[in-house]
Amino acid sequence: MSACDAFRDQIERRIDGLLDAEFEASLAAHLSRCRECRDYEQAQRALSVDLTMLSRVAHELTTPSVAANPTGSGWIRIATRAAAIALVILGTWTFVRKPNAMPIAPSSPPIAGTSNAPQLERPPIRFAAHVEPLDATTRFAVPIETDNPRVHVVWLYDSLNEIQEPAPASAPSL
Amino acid sequence: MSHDSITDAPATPQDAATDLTAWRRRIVALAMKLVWNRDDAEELTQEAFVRASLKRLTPGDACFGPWLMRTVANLCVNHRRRKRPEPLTEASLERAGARVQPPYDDVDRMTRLRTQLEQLPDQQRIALVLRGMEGLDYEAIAEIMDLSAAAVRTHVHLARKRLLELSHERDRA
Repeated sequence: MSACDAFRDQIERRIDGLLDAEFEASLAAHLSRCRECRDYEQAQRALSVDLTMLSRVAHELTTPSVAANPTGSGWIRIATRAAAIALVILGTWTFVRKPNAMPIAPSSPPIAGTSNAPQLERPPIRFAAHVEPLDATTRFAVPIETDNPRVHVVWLYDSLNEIQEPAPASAPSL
Repeated sequence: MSHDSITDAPATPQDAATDLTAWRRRIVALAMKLVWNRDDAEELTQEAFVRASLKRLTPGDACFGPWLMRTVANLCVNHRRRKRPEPLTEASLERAGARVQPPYDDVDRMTRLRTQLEQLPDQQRIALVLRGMEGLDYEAIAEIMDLSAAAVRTHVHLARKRLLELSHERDRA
């Protein structure tokens, strides 16, 4: 262990408040003539301050302002679910009346030499009666279930308002 | 929590009930510092409390606090992240007491530090979080991690050293 290594151990002890008084003078003398150890002490102190700040941020994130008003938060959750269920009912009713308005991707151009290949039938679409909020502040996704487990269709809404007042179902996002 | 040390036992059942709530808050905060997602932190805390109840541990037991912190720390490091880490914003830093001023690089610095912490070996990360973020002394951390105080000090030293190296590597890049 070099002399600097020993002093750097003392630097950490000093930051932790554990350095014995008898070492203070020798450490101060070393720091006065070793720039690298001064930089090391400065970096360690900055790290210590940043860790303390990050700790405060973590505490802040576990007690966000919305948690202080659980009634409001719960109301929004209930309203979101109610709006989603209403949307599912409305959507089902719409597609029962207009089966051609199913939100599917445009069909691919035929592959050469396969014009006589049997055409795949559109999978029947069912709506899942729940909403998955992707993010509290951005989008809501309404999953639309199909019989094909490899096909996942979701309808994205940018805001709760959009769910409450759905636009005409002409261009769903896939 | 009305006790200075994590091993002090509450005097009355009322103290124990109060402590249970305080412990839950404290354990959620610790889990948050390791997984950085509030839902995951609360879920892992719940799991730790369930395990404590299965072992019939109560806040009246001297080992309750250290056992709970060790359990939730182990759950956190073995946890497969399912949700995104909570974003660090200028608003969250300001609420935490930071003086967010131009050039507004505090958010970047904190986010970077959080990422670098996740790159540390598990034992070093837990030791540094308990020392540098929870503010526990080495003896208390040793009890939580079931190690000697000297071993904890080594883990903390290596963690700090590695974080400074990562910082220097980034500056050079």
